[in-house]
Amino acid sequence: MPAGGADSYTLLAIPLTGAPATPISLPGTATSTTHATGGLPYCYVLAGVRGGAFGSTNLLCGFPGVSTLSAAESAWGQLQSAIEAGALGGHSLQGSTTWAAGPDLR
Amino acid sequence: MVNHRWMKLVGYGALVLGMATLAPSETVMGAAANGGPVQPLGPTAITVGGGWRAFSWGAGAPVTAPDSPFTFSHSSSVVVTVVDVACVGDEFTIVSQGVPLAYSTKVTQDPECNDPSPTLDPAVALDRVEYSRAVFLLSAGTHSLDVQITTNMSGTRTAHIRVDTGSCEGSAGAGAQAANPNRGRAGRVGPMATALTVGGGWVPFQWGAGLPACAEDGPYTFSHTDSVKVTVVDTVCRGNRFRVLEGTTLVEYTSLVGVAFCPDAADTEDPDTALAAGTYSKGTFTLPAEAHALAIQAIANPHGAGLGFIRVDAQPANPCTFGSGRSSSAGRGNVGQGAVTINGGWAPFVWGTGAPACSTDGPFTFTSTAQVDVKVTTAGCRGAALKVYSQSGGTLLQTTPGRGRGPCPAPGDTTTADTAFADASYSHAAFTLPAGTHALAIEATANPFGGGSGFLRVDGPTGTVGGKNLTITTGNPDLRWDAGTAQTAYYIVRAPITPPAAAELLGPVGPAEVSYDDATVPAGTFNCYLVAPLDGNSTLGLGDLLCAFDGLSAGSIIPGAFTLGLNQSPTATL
Repeated sequence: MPAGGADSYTLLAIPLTGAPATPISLPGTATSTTHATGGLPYCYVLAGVRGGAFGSTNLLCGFPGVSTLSAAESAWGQLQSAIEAGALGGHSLQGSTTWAAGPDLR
Repeated sequence: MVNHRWMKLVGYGALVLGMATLAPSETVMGAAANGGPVQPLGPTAITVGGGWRAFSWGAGAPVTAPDSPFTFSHSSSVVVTVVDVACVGDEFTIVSQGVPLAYSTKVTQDPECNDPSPTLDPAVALDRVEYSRAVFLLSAGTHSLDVQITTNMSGTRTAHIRVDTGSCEGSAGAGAQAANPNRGRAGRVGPMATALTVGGGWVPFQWGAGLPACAEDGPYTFSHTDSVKVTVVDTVCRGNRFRVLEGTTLVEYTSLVGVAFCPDAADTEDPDTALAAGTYSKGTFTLPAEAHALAIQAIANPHGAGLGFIRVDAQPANPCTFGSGRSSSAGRGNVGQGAVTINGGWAPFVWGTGAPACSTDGPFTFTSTAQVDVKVTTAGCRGAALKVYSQSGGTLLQTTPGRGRGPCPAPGDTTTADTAFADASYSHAAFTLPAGTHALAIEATANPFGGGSGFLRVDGPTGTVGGKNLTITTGNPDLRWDAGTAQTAYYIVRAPITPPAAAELLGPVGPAEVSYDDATVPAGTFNCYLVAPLDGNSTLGLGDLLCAFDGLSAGSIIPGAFTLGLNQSPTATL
């Protein structure tokens, strides 16, 4: 998470299971947070508000359980399953009015 | 020199003329009768289909026929026939490289050679049950057989051996039967199928004379949604042996047993009693979940006919639940005796009777901080097959393939783990497991000898494996991970999601690297990443799967350095 720079943040946690996304409000002083995925794949986007200005990040996603460098059980197939189930497309990521409407400022 | 028993034979003029054909062996007999040691005359090459070959021996029991070994080779299975002639009472064991292959029939002892009509014609002797004989099948290949005289009535005797092609199936086999001394007595191929019910108990089968003699009501058909346990056992007269085929594929040999008098007071027609007796040929093996059609052939048929039984039973998916007391091995239970040291070499394990039978040395427990390689192999006698399960009552991890049963013991048997693992005739397997704590159960699904042994080893990297705690940061995107000492390089796996494309390998990157900026990603694409540490050509494991969708950032105060990591856990850190 970025160090400050906004009055407040909203972290949008988007499960790739077809369930609704969860907005998580964070203060402007926050620089990090954690989110319990329950072992499910999630994508995240962080939006900041300062005064009347607004901005949001690119999308980052994680698939728990894939690593074989840990005690977690292998779940490599979660990615493919999520894709096949349309979970990514189901969230209309590119059509999101919150994140996709702006220019690429990366 | 001949002893008094042979002098009785001299009175039979025709038989004396017949003895003229035994000149080489008579020399040996003479030497033995004079008390001198019998000098080896073998090896003796036998022509398959070439008729009878006489051999003689001297004093002692057991004594090996000096013409041994009898050698031959053939491109298909052959029938070997050994039969005593002249005075009755001698008995044989046929041995290949020290391993018994067949025993001749038990016969009445006649040390005084009082038989009023002895014969020197092996074909005649074969039709008279008072002469001991061994008739057995051998697979295609090169063979070298020693004939041991285990009961030696006079100390100077004669017998005959012949080798013929033979099969009871197909036209070629029928033709071969004509050259077989058992011609005209072959058992018939089962003209009708017998449907077996899984869990339905014993079903009898019978066969007639000949070798091999096919069970008359085969094939025996069944199907099941899970693997099944098949048990075959002989009853009544002892000394038969079977092989079970599926199509032309050998599934199992039943055990080799000694030949008894027929009838005998210890005979039983009850398959459960026969199974428990240990003196009847039997076999138990596991077949996978599918439709099956089994043929049963008697490959040792000393009594010319018989009665056997077959049954098919369901078995639990994982019978090797720790601490359940289901282990059939010596009542030791299957409770935590097998802590495995990673990189500690081979760990032995054993199992007892039954099929399936659980290793009494499980669970095999270990904890690894990285992916590990697991190897498992059978050893000792060949024919066992294994299943490896995860945790108590857990999932099936690996099945070692069946290799078909050989004799036990057999030449080349090894209890050296590395040798067995490298030998294709031993059932073995290798697989990987992720980092973590594991407890493995091992089950012998094919257990032809009522017990056996094998080895397990677990190998992992030494040192710390890098690649853990992968993070991804918006931007190029930027990947970062923990350093390590075990890897020799990393590969980055990039899986494009949108637009969809084949995954790519990026790298390799050096073992000391801890980051990778994927500057090649086009804007507006969605890509997922894995970091794979390598040790030489082996993967040490996979890090977390993280993804980045570029081109979605928007607004005037875009938060910078937005980072995601999973730390090999279900909790995301942002």
